[in-house]
Amino acid sequence: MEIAVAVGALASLLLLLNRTSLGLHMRAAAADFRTARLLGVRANAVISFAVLLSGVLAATVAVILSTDRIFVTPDFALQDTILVLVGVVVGGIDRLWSATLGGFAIGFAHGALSGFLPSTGEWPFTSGVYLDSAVFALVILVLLVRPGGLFVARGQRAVERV
Amino acid sequence: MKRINTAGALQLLGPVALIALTGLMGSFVSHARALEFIEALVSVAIVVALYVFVGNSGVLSFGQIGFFIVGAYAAGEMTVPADAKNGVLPNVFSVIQDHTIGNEWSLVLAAGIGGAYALVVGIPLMRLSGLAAAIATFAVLEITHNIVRNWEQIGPGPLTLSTVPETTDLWQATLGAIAVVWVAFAYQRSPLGRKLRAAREDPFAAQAAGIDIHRQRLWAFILSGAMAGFAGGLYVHYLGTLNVEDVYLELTFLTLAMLVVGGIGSLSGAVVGALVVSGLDSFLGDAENGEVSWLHAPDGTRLVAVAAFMAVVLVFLPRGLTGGIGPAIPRALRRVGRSGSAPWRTAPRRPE
Repeated sequence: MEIAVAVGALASLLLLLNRTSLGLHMRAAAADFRTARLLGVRANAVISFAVLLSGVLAATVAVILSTDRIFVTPDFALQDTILVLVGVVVGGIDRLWSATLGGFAIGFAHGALSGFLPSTGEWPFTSGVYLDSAVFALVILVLLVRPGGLFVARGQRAVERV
Repeated sequence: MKRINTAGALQLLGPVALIALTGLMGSFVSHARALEFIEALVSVAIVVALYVFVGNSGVLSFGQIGFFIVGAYAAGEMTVPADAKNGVLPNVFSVIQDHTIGNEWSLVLAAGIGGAYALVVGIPLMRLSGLAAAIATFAVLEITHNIVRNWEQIGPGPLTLSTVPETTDLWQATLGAIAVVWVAFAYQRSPLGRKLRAAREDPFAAQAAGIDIHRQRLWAFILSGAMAGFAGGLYVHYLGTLNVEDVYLELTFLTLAMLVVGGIGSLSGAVVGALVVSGLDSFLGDAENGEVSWLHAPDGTRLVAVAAFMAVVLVFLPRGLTGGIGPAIPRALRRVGRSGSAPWRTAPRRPE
């Protein structure tokens, strides 16, 4: 069920971004806000729509998550949101595919490392309590090597290192 | 001949006068109320530390609270009285266990450790710009939090550090905040500060003029880390107890919000933002507790109202409360101010 919803949402998002003029306007506003406005894109309206769209998607996720977790609190899923945001940037925030893969990658790294680290042990990095440190150290490493995003082909973005 | 610059002097005297006024007002109120003034002055120190790096370089950093945590724990642990140490810090390394230092030296130590940590972290990380730098410094905060929370050889771990002498009084907080503002002012007027701001305005032109952006950012990062560590020292001596969960995400976002609300591009903005937001925060907190006779606020008003206030300020004054009184707000920022671009995203991109 969850997978079906995820695939459905991703597919409709892809269709919207790549097959409609609204999607084209959204990508134009993201690439260069001012030029897009000069060319007649109602960029402010487009951005408002993008916020609305991301709100709808987030609500969809929240419904799925709340069937999975019994306790719903005001800071529900805050940690997950932060982790996914980091993952999206690590993957490459400019494109839907690289961002999605980045979200998957950090979730995968989190899971794999939590299986790998023993539950007890001494510093450094031999105990499960340092899982977050391990994941975020990996994040720093990836950002240093590929600042534009892990799944973005080299040369597609301006170099972000000085 | 040294030119006396009135505008330049105002940049220093304005914030210093505000801080001195806050300290003075604090001395006329009850002891319990004075604590709120001390807290406001400590937040001035944190926000100015943030400003030194974020404001001058235009690169967003979440890492400063990490240096703040390290400074706070270093200053706190080293001043716990010798006879209480075994109880509060049972598992720490013997160097922490066996030594106790005075209040002033603990602040120096906090600044030194904060700066040294910023140096180690900054050497690789200062090569990054934009969103990558923001996320990488956020990762530094997460790692710092995670290690401090779990490694019991360097601190109390998940337990609360207590019995720290409460030596940050109104006097020390005022002087500390003024010292931090003075350092920030001296830095931004120095050749180092000017080079960094040049790099913020136009990285390519700055590089062509021979500025090593990595080195300039690193200087600011170290200075900012030392100031954040110092602010941490003031903070732990103000509270007397410290739990690692108290100095985490909420403090990070609140201090960054203070900086943005005040005006990210100026020293006066950092000071005004910190004072106004923490003043509102304290006032509404008192109102929630029924300590304000004419206003009875239900629980939770504080968080909602402070957040709403910050949102309203940013909608109507996108450049913050001070709107760039102080060292020139870059023209590039002025033009794009309303279009929703954050200052750290305005660096020109090469055509793809």
